[in-house]
Amino acid sequence: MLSRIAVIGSLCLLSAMVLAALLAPVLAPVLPNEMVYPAYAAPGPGGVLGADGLGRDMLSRVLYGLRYTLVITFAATTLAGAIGVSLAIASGLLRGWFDILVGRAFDILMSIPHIILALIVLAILGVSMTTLVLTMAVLQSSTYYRVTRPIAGDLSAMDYVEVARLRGERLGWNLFREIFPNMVPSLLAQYGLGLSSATLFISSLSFLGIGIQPPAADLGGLVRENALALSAGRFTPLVPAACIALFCLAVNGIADWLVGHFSERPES
Amino acid sequence: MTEGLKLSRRRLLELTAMSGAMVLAPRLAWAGEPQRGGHLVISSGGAAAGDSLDPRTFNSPYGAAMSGIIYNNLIAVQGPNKELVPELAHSWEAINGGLSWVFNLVEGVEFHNGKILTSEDVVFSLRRHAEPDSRSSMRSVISNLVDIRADGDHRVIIDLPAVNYLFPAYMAHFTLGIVPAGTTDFTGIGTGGYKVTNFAPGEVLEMVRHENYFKPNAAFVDSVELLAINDPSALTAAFQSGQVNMTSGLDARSAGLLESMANLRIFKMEGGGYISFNMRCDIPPFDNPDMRLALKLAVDREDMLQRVGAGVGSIGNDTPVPSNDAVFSPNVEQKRYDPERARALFESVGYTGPIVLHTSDAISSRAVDMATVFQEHAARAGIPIEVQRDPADGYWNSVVGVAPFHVSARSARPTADAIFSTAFLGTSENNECKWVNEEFDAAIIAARAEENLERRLALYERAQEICSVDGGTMIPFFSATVQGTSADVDGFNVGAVELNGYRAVEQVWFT
Amino acid sequence: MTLMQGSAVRSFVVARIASGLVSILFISFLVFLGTALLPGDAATAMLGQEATPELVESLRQALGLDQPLLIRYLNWLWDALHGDFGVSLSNGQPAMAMLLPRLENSLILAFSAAVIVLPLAISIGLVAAIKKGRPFDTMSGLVSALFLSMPSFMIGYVLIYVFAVEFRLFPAVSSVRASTSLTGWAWALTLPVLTLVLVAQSHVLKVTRAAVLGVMGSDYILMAETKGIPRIRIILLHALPNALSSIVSICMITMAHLIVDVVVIEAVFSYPGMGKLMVDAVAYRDIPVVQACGVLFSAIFVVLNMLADLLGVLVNPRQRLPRRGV
Repeated sequence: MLSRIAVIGSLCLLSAMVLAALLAPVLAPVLPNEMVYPAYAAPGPGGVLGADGLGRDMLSRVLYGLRYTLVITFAATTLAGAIGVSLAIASGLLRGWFDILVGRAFDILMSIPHIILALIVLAILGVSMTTLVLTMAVLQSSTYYRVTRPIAGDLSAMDYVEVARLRGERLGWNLFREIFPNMVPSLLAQYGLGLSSATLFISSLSFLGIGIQPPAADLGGLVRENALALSAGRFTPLVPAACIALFCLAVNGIADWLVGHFSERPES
Repeated sequence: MTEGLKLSRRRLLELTAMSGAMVLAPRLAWAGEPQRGGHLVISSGGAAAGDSLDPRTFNSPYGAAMSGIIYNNLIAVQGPNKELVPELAHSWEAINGGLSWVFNLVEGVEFHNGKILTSEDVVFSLRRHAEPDSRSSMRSVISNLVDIRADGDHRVIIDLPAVNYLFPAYMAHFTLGIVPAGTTDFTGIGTGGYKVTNFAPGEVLEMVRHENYFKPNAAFVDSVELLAINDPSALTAAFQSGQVNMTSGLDARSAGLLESMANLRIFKMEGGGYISFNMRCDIPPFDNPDMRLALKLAVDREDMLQRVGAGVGSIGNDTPVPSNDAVFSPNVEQKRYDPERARALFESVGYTGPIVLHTSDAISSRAVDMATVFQEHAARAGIPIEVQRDPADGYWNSVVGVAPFHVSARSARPTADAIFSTAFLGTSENNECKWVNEEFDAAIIAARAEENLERRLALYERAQEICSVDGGTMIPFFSATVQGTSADVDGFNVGAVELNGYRAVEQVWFT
Repeated sequence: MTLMQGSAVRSFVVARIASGLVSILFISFLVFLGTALLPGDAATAMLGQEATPELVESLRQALGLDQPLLIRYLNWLWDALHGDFGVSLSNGQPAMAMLLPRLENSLILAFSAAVIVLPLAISIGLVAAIKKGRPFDTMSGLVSALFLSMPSFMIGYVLIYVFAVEFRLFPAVSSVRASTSLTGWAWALTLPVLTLVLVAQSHVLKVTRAAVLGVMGSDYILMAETKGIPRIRIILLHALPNALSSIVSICMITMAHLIVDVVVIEAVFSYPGMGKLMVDAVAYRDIPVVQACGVLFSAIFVVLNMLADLLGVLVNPRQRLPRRGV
């Protein structure tokens, strides 16, 4: 019962946040970079959440920040899933040296601390939306590979693959129809966990000053921008931080429920 | 004081703003009796893991703060009017018609290692700045000198290439701290009120009182800790929580919030310091004067001052001379925000590449905001600017003066000549914009030797005109310095130069 | 359940150590390759504005930049193995000399957090397992999940706001140095350590609870239960020892993650650790420092993860544990 309430609450929260991000241009009272209020205007006269140090409307900035964070998060996580799953299937299909090579590569990738690797890679490639998404996607793809690889098993030995080969049918459709449904529950759960860790990851990078560059700011960048206000007794920097926390809470809640429901717990 | 010039003392004072007879800066009326003892924690930004104690390498607020605690200059700058007061030189005078300056040293000054100061030490300390491997910000000034020589143990004579009545003010620059002659390993041995016990670059400098300090009525607290806090929000939090007793570089906008707190004292001072946007005039597209002018017209100075400076300060005109300076010229046309003209100029340049403006918290908490506000202003003029926020640690070394377009800052200097000469002359090593304009250079050099005040003002007017229109430095406004102490700290004097010419530590005591 | 033979354990150990070494080698190559591909090589970076083509060329030769990539890598690796990562481009000091005191600070921070979080979270996880489904279990699970969802810098800022700015109990900036007294260290480290503890607890708690419950589901425990032995006795005497290998490895893995988590925490508290050094070096492309930090961070992380697997197997050879990613 409790878990049902939790999952419904999580779903509502998640949809609300995704909607807010999608509708940011409609919902935001002003443009995020427009300086409309006096600096650090208090909530009320200075908009619902007050204004930041440059007199920009906090509410609008948070809405757009949410948009940035979610776009990067979903893009990186989806791409990570695509990379991980397709390499797992390819490994199962091709076996041999390809399997071993990819397996070892992912082993190594998983054994390196991701934030350190991201720091190095971003230093080399420079920071942009594309490099951020690509870096995060590659780093996270290893978990999908690990979840999918055992399910993909020894594909080349499976009957229908043989049959398909003999008949000269397209392999892709068969694979999709036969294997993918098996993977869905654990993949979904993994996707949920991936979303939350990707959100925390991009927020941390932005907080360290190597994520999205100003004047644009994602949620992590907003916390950094407004940290001064916090030490002067304002709560505004905590609003974007709380958004991050709520989003993670929601996707974790859903992922946990999925894990419990299909009782195919991916390794924690 | 003997003048080798046919000038009245009053006239000379007027010209050079020198007052070699003053012994101590006036104290504020509310100050009580000084008391010995206590541990003072002061903080400053701009520190880097690569910092050293060699005064020649000081180039950041942190370096300046270090210099003011462990070293002495020949002269110091004090108070709101930027008066020159004696330090290691108890008096100074011009001889040879202003071609040479004589500095008379205080006798019996002891270094931290027990050595007694002589003129050799001064000669050594100053000459080092001109050496080939020097990256000192005073290198161009010192290497242009004809000679620096000792005349007996307590007289130093500096021979100039041309007459300069404004020369003594240079000696107050924080890189010109005096070290013992022959020093090769810089462990912080100076004559200052505090000697180093521990130095962790980029983290902290710890010091204890120098018991044989030559100033009788100074250095009251027993030990000092100079914390490196580059992150402005961490600085505010540390100051507010009482972890830091004294700090400069607070944000003007948070001053209101801090002033209301009983445990803190906040000091605001309209000064000559500024945050600038530096365009490297030797790198395209900024080598084109039209490009520079386009950007200068694309900034709304009033709006910038309101938003970023909390309205405290004065509008700048892309010259380093604020309107309250003695040589400020009101005749130079004040540039106004003109998006249409900026757009036309920018289009005429035809530059299509990215314009990346580097900025960092290392400069000030306002540096990132200023870049962002400028980006908004420029966008309205159709000039797309990308803001690149760099981390604080090392920004001064790796970006300032290096990147094609970056945010930098200068603290107030004693004279307009001092700031023009170090930061704007084409020959200066510290000319961050690499801007070279011969007419401007000629005007500045001529002004130094011009004894007629009107003519000198005319020269400065011309210099400001050229600098304002052609120069590579955009100065949207002059900021107020916001400094603070905890309420139990007494004796803090507000000066136009931060931390009262960086000498505040030896002047304060705990009540 | 078959016992893993001695030789099997030995070969597992050898294989695991070998794979750890391969990982570290791979990282070192990646770090080297990445920095070798940077636009503008070390020679131009070192010379800065004074660079002229002739000067760059002579410095390139002096640095050996004109040699093939593989030779340069091997040379670099050889020096690195001797602790020589070259000199920092920003100040000319040896990268290793800059790094070691910072590494020490980071290790102190991470270790202090580990000393607190491990016993605390393991006990909570244990109690949660004993009281499975009861309010304590639900509550601890909820609170733990709440902190798991918060970005670590948010936890840090809230702690600064409450404990440093409002109540003035602890410093907002964690300034430490060699001469700091033990109480001084404790005072300075309280808030960052607390942050790390809150960040790390969730995982330890979850794994402990799952490991104990996992053992509880096995045949011999069920047998004991049917015999009527009290549940708490079963857990302490039978389940816990068998879950020990999981718990030992979670300790190591937690240490590994704490070492990496310090990167953000150090930025929040302006703590002079290796993470802060690396973040700044990355932004300035101070290549030798980035290389040294990257390799060192990764090596510590890899070795601790390796120890997690090895100790897990040595404590209880019957179980081979899956490793956990980042």
